[in-house]
Amino acid sequence: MKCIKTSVTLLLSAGAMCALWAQAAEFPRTADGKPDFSGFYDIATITPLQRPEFLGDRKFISAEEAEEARSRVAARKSEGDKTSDPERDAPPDGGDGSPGAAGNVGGYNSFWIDNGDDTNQVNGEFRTSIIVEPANGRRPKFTKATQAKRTKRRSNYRKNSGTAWWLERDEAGPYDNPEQRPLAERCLLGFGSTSGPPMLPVLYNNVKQIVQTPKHVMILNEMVHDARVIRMDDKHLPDTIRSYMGDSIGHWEGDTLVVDTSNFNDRPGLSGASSSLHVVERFQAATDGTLLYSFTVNDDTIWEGAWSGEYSWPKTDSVVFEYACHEGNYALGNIMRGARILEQDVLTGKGGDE
Amino acid sequence: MGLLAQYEAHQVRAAEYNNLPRARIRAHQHLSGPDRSLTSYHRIALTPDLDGLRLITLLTTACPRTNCAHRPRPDPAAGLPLRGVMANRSPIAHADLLQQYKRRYVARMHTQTSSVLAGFSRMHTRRRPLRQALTSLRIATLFINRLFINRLFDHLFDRLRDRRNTRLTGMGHPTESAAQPGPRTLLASALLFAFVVVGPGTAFAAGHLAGEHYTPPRAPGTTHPDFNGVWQAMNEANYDLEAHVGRPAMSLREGPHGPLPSAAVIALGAVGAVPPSLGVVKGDGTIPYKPQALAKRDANHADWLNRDPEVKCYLPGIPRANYIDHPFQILQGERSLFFAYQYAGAVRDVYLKDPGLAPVDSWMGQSVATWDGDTLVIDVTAQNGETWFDRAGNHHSGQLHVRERYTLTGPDHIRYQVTITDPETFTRPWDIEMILYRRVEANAQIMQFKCVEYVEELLYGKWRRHPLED
Repeated sequence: MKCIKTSVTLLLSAGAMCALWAQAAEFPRTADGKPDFSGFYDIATITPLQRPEFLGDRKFISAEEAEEARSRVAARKSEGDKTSDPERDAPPDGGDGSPGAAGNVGGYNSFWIDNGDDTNQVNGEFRTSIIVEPANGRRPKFTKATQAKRTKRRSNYRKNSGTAWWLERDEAGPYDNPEQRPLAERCLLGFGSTSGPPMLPVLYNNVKQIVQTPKHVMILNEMVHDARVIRMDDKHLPDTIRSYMGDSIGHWEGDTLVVDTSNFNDRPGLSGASSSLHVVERFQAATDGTLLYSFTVNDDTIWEGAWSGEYSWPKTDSVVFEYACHEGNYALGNIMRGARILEQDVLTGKGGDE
Repeated sequence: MGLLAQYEAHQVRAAEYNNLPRARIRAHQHLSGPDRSLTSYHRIALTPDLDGLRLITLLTTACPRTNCAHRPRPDPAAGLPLRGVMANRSPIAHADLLQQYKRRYVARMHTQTSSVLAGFSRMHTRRRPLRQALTSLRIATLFINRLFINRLFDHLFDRLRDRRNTRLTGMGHPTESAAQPGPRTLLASALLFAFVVVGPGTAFAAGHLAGEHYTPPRAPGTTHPDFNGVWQAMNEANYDLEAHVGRPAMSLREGPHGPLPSAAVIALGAVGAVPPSLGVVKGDGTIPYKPQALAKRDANHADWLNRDPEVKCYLPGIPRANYIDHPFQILQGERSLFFAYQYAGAVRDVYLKDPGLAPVDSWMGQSVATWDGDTLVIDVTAQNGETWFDRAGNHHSGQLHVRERYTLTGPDHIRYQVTITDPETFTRPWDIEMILYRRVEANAQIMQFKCVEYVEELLYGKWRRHPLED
C-alpha cells in the first residue's frame, strides 16, 4: 500500500514537473526575461461571442456536451462539403431564403469556411461564450440613442426582392455611395472584429501571428493583412490622430502583456462601437500551453456598461498567407453597378429580369 | 578645415612625425607613394593576413599643401577607417603596433568569451540541445584559441624583426621578401587560417579582410545584427530607377515644343513633376530589358496613369515597397522577422527557415532569410508579376527572383542591394543599390495609410447614385 502511495506521489510530481516543463517549452523567454509569445495562433472556435440566452449564467459545459457539440458541427460541415449538383437550377429570384454569410443566392460551401471545430477551453472549462462579464455572457444593453440608430439602420437591410425598393422612400438608399457599405465590403478591415481590438474569431482566416521585440509587439491579422504594431511603454498619440484599429500601447505586468487601445475613428473594427471605444487586452501563458487572451471593452456611448471576454488561442503550425482583398475587389463595384441597374429598371418601368 | 588650421595641425603632426619610430616613418613614405613631400599623415593599423601583415590606413589628416586637396581622404571628424583607398600589403610594420593590435584582439576575445558564456547560461534555462551544442563548441574553440594566441603573436614579432632588419640593411626588395614565404611564414599562415576560419574572431577578422568596419549591435537574444527600427529610403527610385532628368509630370503628352503634362494631371503643377536622379541601377545605369519587354516598359510609361498599380493602391511588391515614399518598420524578434509597411498596410513575414516552393503566387511574394555574416540576405520568389518597380513603367514577370542584401553600415544606415533576376523580361540579372535611413525621430512609427479608401472615388465614383460633378 505504502509502495503504491509512493508511486502515485512520484507519478504525480513527475506529471506536475512535466506540465511546468511543457509550459516553459511552449513559451520560451526572451533575452529580457519576458515570455516570448512570438508565433502563430489559430483562434477559430465554435464558442460564440455571446452565450445563447437559454444557457443563462452557465459559463461552461461538460466534456460530453462539448463532444456532442463537436460532432454536431462536424456533421453539418460534412453535409456542406457535399459536391454541388452540376444539373441544379439557378437559385430562385431573390434567393432561396436560406440564411448565412453566403447570402441567399448560393455561395460558400464548407470548403471556404474555417470557423473551428471545437468549444473553446479555458482552464480546462468548455466555455459557452467568449464574454464572461456580465455573468450572463452577453453584451450589456445598448444605450437608448444607439438603440434608435440601430433600428433606423436595420431598415436598410431587406431581403433581396430584385427591385430598387429604396426608391419608394425619400431617404438615401443603402447603395448610393461606397462609403455607406460595410468596411469589410470595401476591403478596409476584416468583418466581425477579426482585426479588433478586441480580436474575435470569425468565419474564416482566423490565424494570428505575433512578433515580439523588446520595444514592440506586432499582431498580424490575416484578413486584410492588418498589422497592429503595439508600442511598448509609450504614451498614446495625440487625440486628433485616430484610426480604424486605434492606437495601441503595451506594457508588462509580470508575465502578462497588457495592451491599451484608444484613438479610434468613428468606425472601429469592433462592429457597433464608436470613437469613444476603449479596449484593454491581456495576453498570458495558460497552463495548457495556449495563449490566454482576455479583454475589456468600454464605450459608454454605445453600451450601458463595460463588458469583458476571454478565450484561449491555441498555437498552430500554419502560417498567414496574403489576403489581398482590395486588389481583387470586384464585389464593391458590382454591388453599386447592380443598384444603378435596378434603379434604371424602376425608372424605365422594366422588370427585374433584365 | 581652413588652410591656417591645416598648417597648425601639420606642425603638430610634424612634431609627432619626428618622434615616430623608424619603421613607421618608412611606412609613411611607402604609403605616400611618389609624393615624397609627405603632405599627409596616416595613422596605420595592422591586421594579420595570410601573407603576413596587412597595413590599413585608418586616418589621413593635416594637409598643408593645396595640391593634395584632390586626394581622397576620409573625414577625420568621423574617424572612419579608410579601407580600400590606402590599404596596402606591405611587410613593413612596427612591433609597437603589433603589440597594440594584440592587446585589442585579446580584449575582443575576452568580450566575446563573456558574451558567449552569458548566452550559454541564459540558454541553459531553455531546451535547445542543438544551440547548446553549438555554443559549447564555440566556447571550446575560444579557449583553444586563447591558448594559441601568445604563440601566434610571438611568431609574428619574430617575422617582423627579420623583415625590418632586411629592409634597414637594404637587403632585397620588400615585395620580393614577401613573395618568398619561409617555413615560419607558412606556420603563421596556418595558424592564422585556423584563427580566421574556425576562431571566435571570425566575424571580426573576416570583417576586416572583407572590408567592413562597422560592427552593429546584436538583436537581443540573437547572434545577428539588430535591424529593428523604422526605415525609409531617401531618393527618387520610386519615380524611376534609371538615371533621368526632371520631367514636367509622371503622365506626359506631346506639346508643340516638347513633352507637357497630360490633361489629367495639369492641375497638380509643380507638385506633380518628376524630380531628377542619377538613378540606382548599378553598372551602366540602364535596365537590361529584352526588346519586347522594353517596348512594354515604354507603353507602361506612356499610359502610366491607367497602369501603375500604385495609383490604385495595390500592394507594391518587393523591392518597390522598400523605396516607395513611406516609412516601413522591421520587427526582428528572437525567432521571427517581419516587415510592416505604411504604404497600403502591406506586410511581409520573412521566413527564417525555407519552407520550399510557395504554394501560391502573391503580390508581396514569399521571403526567405539567410545570413551572410552580418548581412541579411532575403530571397523573394512567387511574386505574381502584377507589381511594378517604379512610376516610370519598369516592370517584371511572374518569373521574378529578387535577392536583397541588407547591411548595416552604421547605427542609422542600411546598405540595400538588390539583384533582380527574371529571364523572361531581362537579358541578364541586374542590381540596384541604395541607402535606407533610420527614421531617428523619437516618435518615429508607421501610421495608418489605408489608401484603399482614397481611391474609391477613382475606382467606383462613376457608380455613385449621384456621381460628383467635375
